[in-house]
Amino acid sequence: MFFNSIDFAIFLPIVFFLYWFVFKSHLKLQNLLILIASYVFYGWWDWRFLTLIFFSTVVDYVVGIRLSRTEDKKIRKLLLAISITVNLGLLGFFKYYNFFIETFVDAFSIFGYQLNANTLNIILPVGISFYTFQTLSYSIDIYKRRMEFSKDFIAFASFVSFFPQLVAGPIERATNLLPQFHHKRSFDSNKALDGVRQILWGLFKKVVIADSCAVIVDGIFSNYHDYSGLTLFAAAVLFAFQIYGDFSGYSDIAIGTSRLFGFNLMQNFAFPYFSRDIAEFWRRWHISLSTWFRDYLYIPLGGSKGGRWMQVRNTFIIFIVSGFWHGANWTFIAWGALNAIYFLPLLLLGKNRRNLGIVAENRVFPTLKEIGMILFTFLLTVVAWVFFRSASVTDALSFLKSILSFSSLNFAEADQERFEVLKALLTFFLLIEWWGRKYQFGLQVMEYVSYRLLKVLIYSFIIYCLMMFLKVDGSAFIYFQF
Amino acid sequence: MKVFFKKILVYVLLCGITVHLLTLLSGRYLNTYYRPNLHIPLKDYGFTYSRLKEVKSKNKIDVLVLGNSHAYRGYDPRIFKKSGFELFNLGSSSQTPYQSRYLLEEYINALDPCVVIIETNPLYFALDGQESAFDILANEAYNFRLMKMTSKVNCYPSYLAHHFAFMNSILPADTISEPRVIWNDAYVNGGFVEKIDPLEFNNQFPFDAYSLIEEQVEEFLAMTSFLRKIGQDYRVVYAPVTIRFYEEYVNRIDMKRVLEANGEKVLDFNQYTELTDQDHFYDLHHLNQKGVIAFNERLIEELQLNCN
Repeated sequence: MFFNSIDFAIFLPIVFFLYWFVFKSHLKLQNLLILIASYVFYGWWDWRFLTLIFFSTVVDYVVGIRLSRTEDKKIRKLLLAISITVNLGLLGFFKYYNFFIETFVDAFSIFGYQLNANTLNIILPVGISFYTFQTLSYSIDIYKRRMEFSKDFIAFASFVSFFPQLVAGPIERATNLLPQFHHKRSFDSNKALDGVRQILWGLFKKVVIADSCAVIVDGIFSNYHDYSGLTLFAAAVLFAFQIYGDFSGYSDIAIGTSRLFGFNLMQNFAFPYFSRDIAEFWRRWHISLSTWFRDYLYIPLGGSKGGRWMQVRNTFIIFIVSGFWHGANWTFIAWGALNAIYFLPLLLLGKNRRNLGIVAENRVFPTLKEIGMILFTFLLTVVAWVFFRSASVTDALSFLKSILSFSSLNFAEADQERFEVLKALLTFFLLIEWWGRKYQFGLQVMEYVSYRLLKVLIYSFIIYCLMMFLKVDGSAFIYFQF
Repeated sequence: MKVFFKKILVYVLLCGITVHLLTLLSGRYLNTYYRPNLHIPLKDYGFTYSRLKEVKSKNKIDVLVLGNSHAYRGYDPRIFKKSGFELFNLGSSSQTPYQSRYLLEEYINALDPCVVIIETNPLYFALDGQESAFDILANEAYNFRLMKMTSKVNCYPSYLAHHFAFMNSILPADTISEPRVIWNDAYVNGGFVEKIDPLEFNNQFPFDAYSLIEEQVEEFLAMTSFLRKIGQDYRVVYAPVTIRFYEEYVNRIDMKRVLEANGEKVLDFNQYTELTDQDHFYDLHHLNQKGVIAFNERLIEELQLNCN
């Protein structure tokens, strides 16, 4: 079920009504309702993959119980290994099997050996990368004794499959989300209103910004040889907004929906395109994944404790693994490696923690220097996004080479019109994002606006845009494929 | 919880008013790129505006024609007039049975025709009716019966178009009249559109595979049942298309079989051998004026109308 579909618009109020009006005073029944709703939500795509979630849930639930009952280090390690092997094994099979086979065959062919290895026609279960990491965090945190195991299977299963963030995050830590299933939740009007506001903004990002960019971007990227340099550059910039609108839009809807049910999820995007350097960008982009890798990979690898070169090595590992997490393609690995290269000078000069606050804090406008830094950082990300979006590394390089021809814009006539509309929409979008940059999401600033008329006008414009740009059958979110 | 619902309700009401205004203004003054879901082909193609305006001034006619572009480009009132019959053509772009039924029920009493011709072809039953719904909603003076047609099409953009049509009807109507000639199409009184000076013969096959939509067939049968019920004479006609197009209409046999199984006889003029693809058509499925004359004269003979 897509968030941006009529199905979800019917599903959400039904679950909300049952949750607060029918099962209001019964925590276990509320959790059971969430579990059932989550399985319905996920099964809407393909019910067969529910068995995978259920299997993963049972494995980690049992591992959690066993870990809590033994002090034997060997057994504890074995239990953790089982959890990691099962979870990453499933992820590896469904997501990376064909990639490894093809790479293996290609590698041998370089030396003149022709291998006959067959790839499989594997369907990638939606959201497997997200819930796998979420359940892994549970096993690892229990192993590290950061939290207590969950006795309540329904609560645990609800945590694993919590429908707002099941298929595209934020990747929640068990330490944050699981306890919320164990405690009674009460309805907070302000929190719920903020949730509605965040859902509205998320829908705007996805339906209006991302999907409108996609129409132009898809056409140009699939025939990039036919376009001039400036057009390709415009397409790359639009893709930057598409992926941001798509992914952060999903996160906003997920977080907003959770708030309606009394849950708090972590912030996943903090206005990354207002970053002044690439390190700041990575503190603001897909925060739940970046911090997951920091806590469960970077720090166990030694983090920054083993000297500068260890730090450089670990940074590269993190970025490349992060790229590979996105998909079984060399383009994602190149994207990760390129970001690591961007990051390297800041790391070596010790300037990677220079910009920790928000840009132009307590000011309306940024300084010229800040504008320059923001634009330069954005440009770096745009170049990296070309790898992310292209079908192959060769295509990405060819695309970037063509950009350097710097010829004029040559959109098709229809795209030219769309581009004009998109410029107006992006201006509105960036203004709201800039205005609300010190909050959790752009539109949250409305909570602090005292002029009701202004609020009504802005909300109305957003609702109007949603009505006009909504694709009724829903359009898939990019991150579903990851 | 009360505070939550109260605030939501207040904003729903306030925003509701503003969103309606924005929809109305954008529908009237902005181009389609600013409102991709709101389709308002007002005076845009097929002369539906002129046709629906003219039909309101008619009272008694002999022949009423319904159908898609094969209808409004294929049945010329001037040729019927020569034989003493007054014809009005209520065909419209991509019309399907959903729209035909609306037009029939809306105008049959006022027009009181001697015979109704329903121009059918497989495409008539194969479209979902959205395009034609937008066309009629944009060009027809609003009335609540349009809601029935919209609900049959049952898609989000058609509801949006209906909503716009309703709100737009509250404001004064646009007074700019539709031109009589657009590109190389000329509107002829009586609802006909003549292709003047056609460009090169267009032999692009415009459709992919398609199949009859069951609901459209049911709607058609409901319409003919209604005609029988009120004692109205009607004919189901299949106007000529090019031989190539006819052959490629793989479901023409399905259409005839389904209609004939339900007691509807189809007068198929594609067996009419005097027409040739290059001489009598301007594209694969529309007659040129020479073709229209030949077809209409033959049709009048076949119908053997007695409207006195």
